Amino acid sequence: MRAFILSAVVAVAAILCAGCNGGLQQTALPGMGSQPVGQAPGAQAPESSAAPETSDSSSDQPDEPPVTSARPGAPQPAARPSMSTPGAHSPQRHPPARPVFHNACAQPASPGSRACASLVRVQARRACSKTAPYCASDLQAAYGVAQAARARGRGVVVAVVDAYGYPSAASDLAAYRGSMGLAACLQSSGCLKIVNQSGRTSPLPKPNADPSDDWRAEEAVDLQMVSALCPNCRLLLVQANSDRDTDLAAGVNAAAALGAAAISNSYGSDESNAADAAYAHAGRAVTASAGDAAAHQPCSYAGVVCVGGTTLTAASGRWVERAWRSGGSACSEYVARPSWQRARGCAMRSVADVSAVADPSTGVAFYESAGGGWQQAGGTGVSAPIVAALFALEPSAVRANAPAWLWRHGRKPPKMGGT
Amino acid sequence: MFSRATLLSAIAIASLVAAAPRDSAVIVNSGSTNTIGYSITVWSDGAASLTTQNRDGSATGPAKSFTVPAATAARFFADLATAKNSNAVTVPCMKSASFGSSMHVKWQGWVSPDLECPAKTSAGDALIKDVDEIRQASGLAQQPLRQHPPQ
Repeated sequence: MRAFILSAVVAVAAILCAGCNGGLQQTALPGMGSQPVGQAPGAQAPESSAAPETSDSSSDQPDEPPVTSARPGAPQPAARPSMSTPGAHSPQRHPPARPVFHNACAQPASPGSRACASLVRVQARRACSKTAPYCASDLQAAYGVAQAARARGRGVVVAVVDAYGYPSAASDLAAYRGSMGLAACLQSSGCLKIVNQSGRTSPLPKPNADPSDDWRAEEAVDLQMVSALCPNCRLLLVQANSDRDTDLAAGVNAAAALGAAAISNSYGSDESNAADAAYAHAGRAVTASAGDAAAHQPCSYAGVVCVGGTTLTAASGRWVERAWRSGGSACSEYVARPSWQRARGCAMRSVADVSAVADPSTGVAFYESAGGGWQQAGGTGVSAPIVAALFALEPSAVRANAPAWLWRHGRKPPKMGGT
Repeated sequence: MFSRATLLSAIAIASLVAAAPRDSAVIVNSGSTNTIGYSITVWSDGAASLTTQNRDGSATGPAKSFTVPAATAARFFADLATAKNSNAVTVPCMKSASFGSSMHVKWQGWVSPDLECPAKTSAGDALIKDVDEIRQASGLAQQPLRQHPPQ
């Protein structure tokens, strides 16, 4: 049952911080040049194999084997043995884009009643292609959770905490889910709830007026990535009054108080302390972005699942994931190494714990009306909600200490040399 | 008719004005994983130029010249002087991991704190407003400068 989340445990090698000698620093990139990104000299090629599912036929596909990744500079793990379900289809490329049709009626007909039979063609392919930007079904296939995404997550609340308002959150989410073939998630049904940092539905903060510091796109990505990986989950969007750390921390506490099983935080700042109680909630998986350039907090806090980034590609019929060179990877300056963390590269806590797709060149499709509609995005602001959604699919992982669970069930990292 | 002395005085003043070095400051927005950054150079006489740039600092196209209203330019440089003296004009803040950028003004060897964060002092508030006015004068769209525009 853990297969799908283990698939997201994209290489505990991700945690290894080659080149870190106790100080906070960006990981060096040994073996660059003709080497693949993040591949150390002599390291075994990082490959995992998963046959990409067709873009719009995930419902018929078994869960796929996991993908792997590693941090820049970390030795790559050996190729993982296939975990394909017996009878899994042969690897194949994505088919040509096809139009997607949805029922025009919002509610399916009940037995004995008349039903609207109209189908509406939606332009899902405008947002997705054979490769990036990835659709929901692509992500489910890549992380081997297509089946789990259909069967699990009902009633589980996943919170995303962001700053400032996002008035079109519900309509943008509806556009995304509709185009991706996911069931609607409406405020009226209780599937989507939007609250302020006090946990109340009003007043909600306004969007930030500064176009260079617009959080609406981040909020859109967060909601839509959780939807992509856990379509049955309930969504809780917590909007902090500002991007001050105290406001966002209040938002995390509100999310926990409202029963979120997983809380995603796609933000961060330079490290300045060792802990913040707002991010330590037993029995809940709190994820945070490792940062797109350097280590961040809250990601480095011991109770947080720190999520880095990978480059995800579907090549020759397999999903392949490699380290994304811009993902934050470092040794904390403030947080002691937790007992459960097995990384050998850092004297202090290693950042990150796990990684998922974040390279913008292999980014995801998302819909945000204020930014013009369909767009492609990357960054660890993408990977943090993906991992939060995966935790929501595995309740036993959420009940435990989430990062410790990840390390306990992840693969043993390879030995590091010279660090 | 001007007297010779008056004429010489006028020439001297004009020469001094012409010789006075134009002050300049550079507003730098870092951009983010998904948004393009930019650099705006502002001179004290209101002349300005905008360059949009990738995260590695490389320009995405030619610089665009524009003019900042004289009053705005004068206020901007006055506010820079005030902010430089009080340095901590904004409070540290969290950044959206994938869309958040930082913005600093470089002036006379001084680099401002991140002006994308909330103001801590009235000097910070004034400087943020100045930068916003200059940004608007540059013609930068209010819509975020996405790296991956809508398809």
